[in-house]
Amino acid sequence: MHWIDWSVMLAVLATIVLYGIYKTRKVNTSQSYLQGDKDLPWWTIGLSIMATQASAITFLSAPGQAYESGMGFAQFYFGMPVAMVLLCIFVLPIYYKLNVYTAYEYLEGRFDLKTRTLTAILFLIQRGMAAGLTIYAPSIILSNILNWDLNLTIVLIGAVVILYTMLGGTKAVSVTQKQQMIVILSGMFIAAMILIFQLPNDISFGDAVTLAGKMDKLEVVDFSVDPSNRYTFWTGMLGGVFLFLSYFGTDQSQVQRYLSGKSLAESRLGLLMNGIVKVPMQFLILFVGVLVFIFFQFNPAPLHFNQANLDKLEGTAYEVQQQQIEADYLNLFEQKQEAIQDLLAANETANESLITQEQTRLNGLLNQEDELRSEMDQLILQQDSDAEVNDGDYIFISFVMNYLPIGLVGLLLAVIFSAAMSSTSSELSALATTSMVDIYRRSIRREEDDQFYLRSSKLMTLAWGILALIFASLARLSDNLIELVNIVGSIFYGTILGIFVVAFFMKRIQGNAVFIAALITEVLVIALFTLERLDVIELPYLWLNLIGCLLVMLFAYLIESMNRREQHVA
Amino acid sequence: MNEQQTPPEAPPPILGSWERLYWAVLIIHAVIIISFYLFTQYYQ
Repeated sequence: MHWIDWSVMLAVLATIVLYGIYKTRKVNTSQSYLQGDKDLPWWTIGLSIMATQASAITFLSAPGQAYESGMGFAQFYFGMPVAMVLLCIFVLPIYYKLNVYTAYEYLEGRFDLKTRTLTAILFLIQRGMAAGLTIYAPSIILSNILNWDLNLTIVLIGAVVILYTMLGGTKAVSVTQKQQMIVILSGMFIAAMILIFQLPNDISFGDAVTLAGKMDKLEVVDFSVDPSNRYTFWTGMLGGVFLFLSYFGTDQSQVQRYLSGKSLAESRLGLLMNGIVKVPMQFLILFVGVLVFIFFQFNPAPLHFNQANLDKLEGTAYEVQQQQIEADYLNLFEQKQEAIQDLLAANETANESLITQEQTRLNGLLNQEDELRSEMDQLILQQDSDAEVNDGDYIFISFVMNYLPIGLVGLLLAVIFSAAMSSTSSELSALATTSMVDIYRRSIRREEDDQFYLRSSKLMTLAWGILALIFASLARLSDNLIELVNIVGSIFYGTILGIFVVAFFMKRIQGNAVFIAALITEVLVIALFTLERLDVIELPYLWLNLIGCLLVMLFAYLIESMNRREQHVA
Repeated sequence: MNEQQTPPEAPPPILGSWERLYWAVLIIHAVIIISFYLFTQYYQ
């Protein structure tokens, strides 16, 4: 990497971190550290909510996903605006009225201490794991680019986030997220512009989009009800609503963002801003992936995007085969150029049969290209059977490193690190707040002075940071990192949401019934997930949110009815 | 957890009431989905 890129990246990141530390140097009470000073306007809350959700994984995986499978992933977010409105109507007024630090605090008043503690623990488990993954994702990139040890990279990245989050608490998170989000949005916009300007002279933007459509990359909305299809309008609107109700209504990393608002109205506006902006923003991120796909239709793409894997083949017995596959690919690439031009020319004639014929020809060549990619993957696996050949998360960064001009490479790396830092810092702050407020201060050390709790909160931030680093160093690349985080979330979110839905809407149900219902449900959800992994059943993971929530409601209702009947008989 | 007196609910800065603002958000979302659907159909 060029020194100018290093300078840009380090300058952007250092400025944000130092600004965050400076602005929070006067945080000296546990309330200010855990809850903020309740002075944030709606647009800061909105940006903070978006920055918390948009991790580095979003910017690495999503473009890669669009490159490989098109833009259907946008449907995952379709339920979000509905969830935002429901939260503004039903949940925010309660949190504001009770003046809570955490979402789980409310559950003790509504049910009992054990339900509050159980829900807080479910949150700590899933969010602790997710925090590890949000550090792990950018660490793989940097370790590959610099040939650094992965664990060392994880520690270096994590240490920066832990430092400013530990010093400034939730306020440091909000202060830095504003700048981070500005860097992220500008960087992605610039990347999209560069991709458009790098199209060949005889290919207009319209031609590029037409081509992407003909190559099945622009199917954003799918109304089919095929249960094996992960992303459809229905999974987004039904499963998605439940997932986002749970994530934004009960996940402390988000609740903490809007509870630091100046007023109920500012918090509501922040959530609604997120509801309106998030879906188009995700569309644009995926569209950047489609533009990268188009770019590589006119420029030879690597046959495998993780260069570290290709480097392993150098000087081995497989190098000759590798060169042969690459030669075959270049030959195919030339044929593809002709087929693309013919397809665009056919499109001008509006002759449907000719368009279909050219489309079939081009798709045939793409299938041959996929076969060459599979051959390359096999070669990598023959050389190293433990190698991870899924390279979807490397597609966008590979484009950034090899095709962006000097200076912008540094800016785009700053985008990815900003995203990693913004979501990780929210997670660490939320983990520390929940551990402190819902467990330590509530059940372990109840009568200490404020400075003791402030120091303990800082130590808890440090402890969660270290745990996240350990988990990050144990993680291995899943099929797709963004999906792994969402899958982990879906296993726990349904149950957590179910507890809150019962709390808000099923007024007759008491603590014992919901506690037992939550335990039974969590066991069943994990069992369903395991059966799906073993290919015994087909169940897209988003449905786990809906199933978990409904099961808690059902079991709680049945158990409460039984309890009442027994009391009545007695 | 200290229950606090909630001040009278302030109206949103636009559209006069929260109910209208919620409907506006949902209608904008519906327009976005319809646009995506037309986009999908056009380029298929």
